[in-house]
Amino acid sequence: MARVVAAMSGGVDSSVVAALLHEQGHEVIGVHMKLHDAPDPDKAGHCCGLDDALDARSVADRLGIAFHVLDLRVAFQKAVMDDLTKTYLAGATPNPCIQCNGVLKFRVLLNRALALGAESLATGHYARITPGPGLARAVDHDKDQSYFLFPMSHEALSRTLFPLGDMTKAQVRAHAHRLGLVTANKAESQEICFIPDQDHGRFIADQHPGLDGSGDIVDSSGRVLGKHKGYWRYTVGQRRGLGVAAPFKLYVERVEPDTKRVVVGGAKGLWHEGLVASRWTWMSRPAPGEPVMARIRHNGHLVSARIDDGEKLVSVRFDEPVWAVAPGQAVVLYQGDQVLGGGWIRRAVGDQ
Amino acid sequence: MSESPIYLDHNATSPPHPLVLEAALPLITNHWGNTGSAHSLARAPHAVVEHARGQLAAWAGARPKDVVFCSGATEANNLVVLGAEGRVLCSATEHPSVLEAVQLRGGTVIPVDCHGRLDLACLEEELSQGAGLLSVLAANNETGVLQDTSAIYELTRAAGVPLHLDCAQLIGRHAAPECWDYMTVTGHKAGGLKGAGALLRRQGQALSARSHGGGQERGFRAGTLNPAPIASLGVVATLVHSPQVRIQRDRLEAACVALGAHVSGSGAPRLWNTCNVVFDGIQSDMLVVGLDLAGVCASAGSACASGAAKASGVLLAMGIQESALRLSLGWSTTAQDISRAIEAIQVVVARQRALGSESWQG
Repeated sequence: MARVVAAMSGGVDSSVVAALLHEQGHEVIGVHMKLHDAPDPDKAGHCCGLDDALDARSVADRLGIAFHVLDLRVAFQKAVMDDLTKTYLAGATPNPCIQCNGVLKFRVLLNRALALGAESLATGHYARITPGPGLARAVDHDKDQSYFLFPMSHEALSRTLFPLGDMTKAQVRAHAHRLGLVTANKAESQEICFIPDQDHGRFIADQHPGLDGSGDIVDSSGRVLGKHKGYWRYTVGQRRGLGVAAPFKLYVERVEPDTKRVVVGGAKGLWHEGLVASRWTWMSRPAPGEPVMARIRHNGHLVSARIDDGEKLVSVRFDEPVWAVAPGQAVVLYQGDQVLGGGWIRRAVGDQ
Repeated sequence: MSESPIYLDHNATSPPHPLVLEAALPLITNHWGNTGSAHSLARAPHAVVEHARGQLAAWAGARPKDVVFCSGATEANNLVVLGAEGRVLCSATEHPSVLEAVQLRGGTVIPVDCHGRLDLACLEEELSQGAGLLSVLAANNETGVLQDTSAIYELTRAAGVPLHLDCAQLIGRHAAPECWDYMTVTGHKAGGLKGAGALLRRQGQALSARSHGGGQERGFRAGTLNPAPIASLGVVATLVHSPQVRIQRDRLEAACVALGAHVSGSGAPRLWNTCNVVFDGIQSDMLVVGLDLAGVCASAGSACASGAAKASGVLLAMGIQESALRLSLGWSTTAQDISRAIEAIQVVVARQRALGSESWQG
């Protein structure tokens, strides 16, 4: 059987992946990525805490497989943490999980796995790799993570295993209990692992002390409605935390880094007819005008859409308007369960 | 992997020597009594501990009554550094159990040269400003570099500052240094068991206890004595190393150099068992994992709590920015081990070079 590197976060999903591959007779090497210095080592539940590394090691010890911790903090800082800050400062909404998958897991870690003589890298993602190779949604559509995986190259797909793509979460937990894994009852990891309290505004302020992002909250005509303490705290479609009284519900329509203005308005201005995206990864590019399904956020609805024939910049036009297209997020295109490709959203195309 | 792994990590810990097992096993199976008890079952373990005390004192050139047994080298180092009066000094290449204790006390760290040897001019300058202790690692755990303890002692004695030598890597492998005021040892780097160490002190040198209670070890270190590893420490003090192992270390090092590696501390006298090499462009944590998968146990220096390799403060102090592979041999190492290890290193280095380390950083 083959030598396989299993990325072990210390959670239940990747624990089960390592255990199942080991059961199948593969030579499994458990690898835990140290991605950042956890702000509070006693606080469990974020992916790089000491507890998670020790949980992963306990599972590996129980299985009797090799286990190593790789220090990937420099790569993570650059590709994920700095990218998050840079994107917010540019007035957009970053997606650190996609960056982490695209760069850390399926480039850096995969290359390291190959350099260790492994045939493939296995992770606990809920998605499927189909012949071709292609990427498809997990059988468990509620758990599907294919949206986060679109930047995987052809080469990466051909060297990756997603053993959980055909399973439901309940089946995964049942395996964990059957195998007596210490991680069987662990809670799901949530949100941004390196910002435990999810306050990205404070994270950015800590990274750039002295940077003043304060400015006006205005309506679409430019009328000043209030003040804010940092434009990077706002994201398109956001309603809470505006601190502005109005006779109807106000949402963030746009963030303008140059003027430090946050433009707000009623819900009507946030229905978008399309978008323009760049930095595409194609598994199978559809023809211009061919009907596809598009998703603009994780767990978002699939909406029917068509693309044009652009090269670097590709326009996506929805058959019906969609709510709150956020620059910095990704658009991923599907046909059935199959992922056709995805790109990073540059701007929304409105209906105004 | 059908063959048992080749063990080249003796500076972390070593397999128990047959003479050690012979001395220590009866203390676990039969002579398990408390050395401090008043009854017959205390006699055998007490006698063994006192015998070990004598063996250790003989190696170190000290009096048996100057030996304070404790749990290991870390405790011994903490005992002397945290207990010292006045400003404490140490070298920049100390073991963390000294370095962190010195930093905790707000002490001063003295630089080393590019070979890892203490900068004696800096030392003299610091000593002239007064100090309560200088702590120096006699043989470095990462590079094997040996300090010139006689020259250091001349300076400390002239300044009236006590000298502590951490000899954790020296005992069982090398003659004891002659000049010191305090000394740390442990047995498990050279065939002994984990769980015992000792702090030795010259007559008249002060010591203040860090643990209090049962009055063991003349009140300097309370706690029930652990006779099996203490007996092993005594045995290790009597071991004489075989010159064969140095020949194997040199052969291993030459094979690494032939692959383009640089030897850390090559300009200084070094312990005969340690090989610390930098392979340009290959991170040592990947080499350690690759070698582990090929059945060779090696080290990339110290590890953090999660198990990830840390940047080496020892090498940084020597001006070496790259990460290094540490291969440390010992009493159990054979010529055949080294032949197999060289083959594995050649394969792993070639594969990792071919699959480009630049793609490991993002």
